[in-house]
Amino acid sequence: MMSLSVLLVFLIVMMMGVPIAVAMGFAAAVVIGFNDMPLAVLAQRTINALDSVPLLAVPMFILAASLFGASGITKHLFVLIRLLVGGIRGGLGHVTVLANLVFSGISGAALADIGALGGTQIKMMREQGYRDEFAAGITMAAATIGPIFPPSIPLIIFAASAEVSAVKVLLAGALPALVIAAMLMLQIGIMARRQNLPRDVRKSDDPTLAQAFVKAFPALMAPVILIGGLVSGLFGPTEVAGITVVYALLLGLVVYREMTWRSVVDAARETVHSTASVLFIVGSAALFAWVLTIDQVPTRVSEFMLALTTNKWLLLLIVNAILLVVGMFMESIAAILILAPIFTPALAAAGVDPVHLAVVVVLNLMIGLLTPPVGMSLYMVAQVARLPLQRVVAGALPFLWPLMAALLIVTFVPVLSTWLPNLIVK
Amino acid sequence: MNATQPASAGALARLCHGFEVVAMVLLAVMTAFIVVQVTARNVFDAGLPWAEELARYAGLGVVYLAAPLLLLNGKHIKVDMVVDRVHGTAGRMLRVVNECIVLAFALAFLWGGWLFMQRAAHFSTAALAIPNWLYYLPAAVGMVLFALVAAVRVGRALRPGISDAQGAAP
Repeated sequence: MMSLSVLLVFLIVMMMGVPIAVAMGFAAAVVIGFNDMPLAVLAQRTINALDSVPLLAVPMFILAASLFGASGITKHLFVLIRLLVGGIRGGLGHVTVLANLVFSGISGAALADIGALGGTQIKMMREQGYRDEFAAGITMAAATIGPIFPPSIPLIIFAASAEVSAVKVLLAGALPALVIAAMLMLQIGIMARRQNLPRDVRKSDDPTLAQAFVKAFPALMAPVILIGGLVSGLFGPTEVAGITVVYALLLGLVVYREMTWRSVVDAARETVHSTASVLFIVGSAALFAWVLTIDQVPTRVSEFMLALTTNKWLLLLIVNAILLVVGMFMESIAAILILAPIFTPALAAAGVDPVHLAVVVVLNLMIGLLTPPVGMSLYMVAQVARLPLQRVVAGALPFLWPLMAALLIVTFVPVLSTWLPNLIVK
Repeated sequence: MNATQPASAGALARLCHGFEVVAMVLLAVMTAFIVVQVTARNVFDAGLPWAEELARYAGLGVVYLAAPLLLLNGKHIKVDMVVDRVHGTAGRMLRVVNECIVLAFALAFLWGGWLFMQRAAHFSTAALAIPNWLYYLPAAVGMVLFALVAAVRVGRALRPGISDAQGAAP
């Protein structure tokens, strides 16, 4: 009853237009107040949730992505990838996917990827006559790769919430990210034929492939250094974020010398805003999750799910269906904090590897970023592309199919998620 | 969700912007401590639990000191597809109710924080023995400012002809 009340109050207040963080905290506060529970938990749970080492990855990864955007790295990456695949029909769509795949090795969040790459991608596609909807859609869809490929903020948060190895969970995302990229490129290929999308136009002053490779080499090395450091134990999952910031500063200020101190300050300001926005929700989500735990929701859901079926594939399908709906209404990190401790015990009891579950959960919630009303990627791309929300939503639709196909593959082929971490981490 | 225009003037706005700068400094400090920790462990084989504690402290500061500015500028993530479609008196009343909910949450948080500190203030942090009242100070200061901004927004929402974006302006 308490859980239903908190959920109902949250949904009503959120739909009224109250900030999501406040809607969650207010709903929890109302239920805590009416049930004579100690009000002290309001501050205690919220602040203690944020006083966490894994969550430090959030601001540092956001900062790193902003700095990479200002460092000139993205420009050199685009030049190289355009030379490699731009000549294919619909080439800039493929460039967008591959640029996001490379960038995902240094960034840990979808919104950070849209912020760092989205503007350039959409501008390039517009200049070559792509429809705005296509440009917006592929920008959002390709950004889902970022939080799946290591490093990843949502996967770090899942690992902390479900108490599983963060290194294993991070490595688990590598092959599924390639599956998503392949599915998106397949869809672009189909759309390119149907819509007669253009090929990239080579200019006379374009560098040769070798020149472009040399210029982009330091950027291409970033994922190798970061993932190598993580696997070798040089730094932990949260520390990777700090090292990424240092690497971005090194490339921007010393190697490429395209970064100014002004742009560093701007990146810091943008990071502070994004961090406060996301983590304020996370703090309230922790309070919200506490109310659900006090009401024994994790145990009840676990018992209910296992009473329905003990077949792990059916349970995974049920989780997929629930998460796709949750992803429409809830900010992804908040959803992970609330749902990871609820689903993990039931699915683990049915034989699902929590490392596999982590990738399924995060991919589901990343697809939720493309669906209204709380589709954060939709709003961000609408802002970056200066398009009305309806046109951005229309642009997202054709790319939901390949993402759903990737989700089904990742769900029903667990070895894609478990093979690499089991191979590397003993 | 929307991108509203930033608020312009006023002491409250200056205070919020001042805290934004502090939050930016704390972000740099936090990153520096994490990198120092990695370096110390790998180069000097030394663990620095104090660095991690200070990084967490800075992390709390980043969130709570920047939150009031986001509220001032109407930039906290929200679903505004309903509120944007309700116009006239009904729309104004909805905005008033929304701002009152934000204020109520802020006050409940502060009251809860006060109750929490009655017990927690007797303890200190593990690595550096920072008194808890000092450790939680950025959260308390940030939420006091958050409540003030919320109160101002309630006042603005009560005036006719003020939009959500303008509702931020003190």
